[in-house]
Amino acid sequence: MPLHPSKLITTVIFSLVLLAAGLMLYVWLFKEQLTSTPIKVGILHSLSGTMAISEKGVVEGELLAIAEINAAGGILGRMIEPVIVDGQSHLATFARLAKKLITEDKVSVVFGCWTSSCRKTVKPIFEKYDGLLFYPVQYEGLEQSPNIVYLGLAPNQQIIPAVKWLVDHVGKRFFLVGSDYVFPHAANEIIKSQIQLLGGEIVGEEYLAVGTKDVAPVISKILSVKPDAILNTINGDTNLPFFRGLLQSKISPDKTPVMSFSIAERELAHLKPKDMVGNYASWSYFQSIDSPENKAFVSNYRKKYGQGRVTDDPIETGYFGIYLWAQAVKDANSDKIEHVKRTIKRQSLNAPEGIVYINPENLHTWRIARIGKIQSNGQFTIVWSSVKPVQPIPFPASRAEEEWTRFLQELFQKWKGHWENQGTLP
Amino acid sequence: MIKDIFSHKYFWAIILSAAFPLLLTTYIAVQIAENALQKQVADNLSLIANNKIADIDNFIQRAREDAGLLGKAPFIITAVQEAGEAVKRHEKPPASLLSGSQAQYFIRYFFSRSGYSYKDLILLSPKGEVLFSLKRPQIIGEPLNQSFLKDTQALKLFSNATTLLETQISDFEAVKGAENPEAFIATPILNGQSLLGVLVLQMDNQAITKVVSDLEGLGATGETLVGNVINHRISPEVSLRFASISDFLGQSQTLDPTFLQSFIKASKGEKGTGLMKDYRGKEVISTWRYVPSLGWAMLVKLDVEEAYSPIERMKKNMIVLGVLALGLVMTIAALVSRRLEKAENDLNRALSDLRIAMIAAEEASKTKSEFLANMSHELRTPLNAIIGYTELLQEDAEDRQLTDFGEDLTKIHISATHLLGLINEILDLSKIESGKIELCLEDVDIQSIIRSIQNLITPVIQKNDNQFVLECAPEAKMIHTDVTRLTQCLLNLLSNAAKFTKNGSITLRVTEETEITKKGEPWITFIVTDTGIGMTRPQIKKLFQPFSQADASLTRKYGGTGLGLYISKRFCEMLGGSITVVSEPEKGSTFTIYLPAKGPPM
Repeated sequence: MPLHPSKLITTVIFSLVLLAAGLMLYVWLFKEQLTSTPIKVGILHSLSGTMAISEKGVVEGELLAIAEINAAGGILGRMIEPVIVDGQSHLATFARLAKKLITEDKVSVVFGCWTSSCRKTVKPIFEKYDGLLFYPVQYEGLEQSPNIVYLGLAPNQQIIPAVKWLVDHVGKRFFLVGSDYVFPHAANEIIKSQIQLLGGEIVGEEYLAVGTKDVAPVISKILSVKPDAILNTINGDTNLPFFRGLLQSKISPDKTPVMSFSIAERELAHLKPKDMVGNYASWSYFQSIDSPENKAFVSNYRKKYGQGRVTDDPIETGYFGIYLWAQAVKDANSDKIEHVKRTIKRQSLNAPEGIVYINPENLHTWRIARIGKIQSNGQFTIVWSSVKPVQPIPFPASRAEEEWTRFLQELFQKWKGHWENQGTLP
Repeated sequence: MIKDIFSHKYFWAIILSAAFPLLLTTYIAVQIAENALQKQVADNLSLIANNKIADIDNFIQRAREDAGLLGKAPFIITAVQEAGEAVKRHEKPPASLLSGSQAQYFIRYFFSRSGYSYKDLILLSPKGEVLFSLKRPQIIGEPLNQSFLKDTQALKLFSNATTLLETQISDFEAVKGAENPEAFIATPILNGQSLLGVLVLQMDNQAITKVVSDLEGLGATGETLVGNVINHRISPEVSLRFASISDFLGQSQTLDPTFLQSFIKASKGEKGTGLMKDYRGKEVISTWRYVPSLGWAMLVKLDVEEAYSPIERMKKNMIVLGVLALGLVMTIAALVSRRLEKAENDLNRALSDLRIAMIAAEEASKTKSEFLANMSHELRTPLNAIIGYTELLQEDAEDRQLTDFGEDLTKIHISATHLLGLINEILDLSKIESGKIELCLEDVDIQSIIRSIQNLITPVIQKNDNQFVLECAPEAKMIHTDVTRLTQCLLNLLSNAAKFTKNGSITLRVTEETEITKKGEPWITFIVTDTGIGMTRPQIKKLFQPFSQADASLTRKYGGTGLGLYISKRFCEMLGGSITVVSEPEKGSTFTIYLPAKGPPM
């Protein structure tokens, strides 16, 4: 009994309908796994204003990592969609945009801020709305939050080893100079404690208003006290007249080296490296690190942003931060903040600088400490390295945690509820 | 027999429609289960690795905290100050430095706590002289860089503690006179803003070995490897499960590159999971991690054979189940297909028998009709002669005043005429059945038909004291039809009505109606209504069948062949129309003929 043609068509149509129904059922049951809506990542940095020079580099590092991950197929089959906003180097704008990214854009994570005043301004917002902030810059420590992953160096990974290195190699009489906001004040407080315990001497401590060019009084003070070394926490353009002034006053790096904590390759490219040759900086990452991972990173960065460009610690920190977060999302099998907050703990990576690892207790990052010497080409020669990553200790052991917290509160009150000295602001 | 089964088309249809989806579903289910199990094995190994790292990290963290806590303890601060004074006076610090009851209590607590195997507690001055040693009092007073610890990392730790001012732990390394590798933890002793000295705790690796060697969740073939990578070679820190460390180092040249690379990746901070061959050459599934607190690499592995044994078991079960299911399906298919094949053959045979029987029956019916047609014709000739001669005799009898004959001749004439009617009807029937009827269609005036019918039928109707009523709608004028057949049908209906009605009325109503279709063709209806005996529902059912009257008993009472209505129905159908009846017993009947005014469709 052969199948009649019309019956054959009916059978085929019926089978197709059945197949379609099966597919629809499958899609309906597994719709969560099949949706490929992009994962939104907030990028909250200054793209304009005084901080833009530094922060644009971090944005570039973060976007490079996002582009690489997307090119490799995204995370959990989903693309990463950066939501880039401009904090305009203005604290109130940062606060408004942080709230908007968390509550309106509903981003899965925010990478943002450069200055400590910025971080301290948005910290209560991230805690109130339960957001997740990855902070990519070295800082003064004395802080931790369940809503912030501190990718940057804590004092015991940057400042304290640098002071120890100077004590071992240069001398014990130090001159402290910094910009007039929370990071230099707190950093110098930590330095003072350490130097005192080491039996060293602070021969001067000066603060310059953010963005000022008037460095002459400080230079003359340095000339008069003749320190063994200068610890520099000046941020931004003021470094240009400062180093020029040192050079003109014949304060040479051979006799009185400057150890800077906020000058990396990117800042050197905007300053005059020739004025600064022989001085030092302390970071985890230098572009001159000789490893296949770093060579690939530098080459990819230049391919994307231009052959003449330089990489530095904050750029690299933004870059590996995205990768650490992506690993946590993959492990959590979800981009939800509550899950990522759990899986980000103990994430580790072979970054361009070497091993990085998220400490589960304080969400700070284990990183290798290094000291570099400035060359005339704007690069650093690495003169010392901790070899193994250093466990981050946000509260230095030289004082109790309550003492550090009290110190910060007093600073905040002295500045009338701000994280920078409004009195010296231009 | 078996060969026959395989050649059944139904057998293969059933196998395809049942066994194929069954096997496909089974295959997919096995794949899904296999993937899920592989993921579970990997997740399980990851979990074990994470737990071990957390245990090691916590252990190291606790040890650092222990050192930090002791470094802040008042009895330590006092002891260091006391010893420092002694050193200033160029005296050897007393060995009984920590013999106070409070100090003894704490030291006993820290040194007897289970899981923490501290070997010594050493106090150093900021310049590096040994101020106190719990287990080696002989080194008190010596500078650290001249003591037996001078080749260990204790020196570097001391330097870091005095300058970085933080608690640090050294690597585990072999120490002279110690059974197991040992590590130092050093912490600065601070008093306000001055550095009094350094506290050093010495501990062995037994607690960590215990964590690493714990085989929980690792079955019969799993194990955990920890160690460093030195010159692209794996240097294990804890003994292995299946080889001694020296054997392992001896065969490190022949190690699977994937295994080596995974371990190197772990030592560089990367983590992952994958398949590889281990140092025994066995296929293993591994997960690797970095252990930050010791700077080690960790690799947790399990033999594939053991890890995936549930998959193999499941596959075997599935194969057995599949074969059983296939066998079952084949048996059922064989049985069902045989039944189906047999049923189909029977059906085909019955169908062809029926077809033959039908042809024979049609043939027989045709022969019978032809015979009847011929016979009727043959019967009519002598009958016409009888009627003709009877009429002649009647005229003769009238002429000769032979009234005695007249009555008899009238009876003969009536009988013969009746017989002729019957034969004519049978002739019509046989013509219809043998398909020999020819219609003679023409335009006729309905009024004239009605008039001639009225003339013919009025006497018949009045015979039973019935009244004849004629209603003819004026718009019903012309009809294209066979006037003879139509007249025959109407006469048949009217004479039937007259036959079954007494002292009543018989009505013939003619109207024109318009078809309820797009074309709106005109139709003519002829309605014959009587007030006679009527019919029951079963009688109506049989009404239009040949050779039947409403009731057999009626035939005897009223006469007739029972062919009239059947013939009328067939004529109406031939003329493109139909005939219907509505009737109720004792109330009368209404027969309606519908005919298209423009004749039957071509």
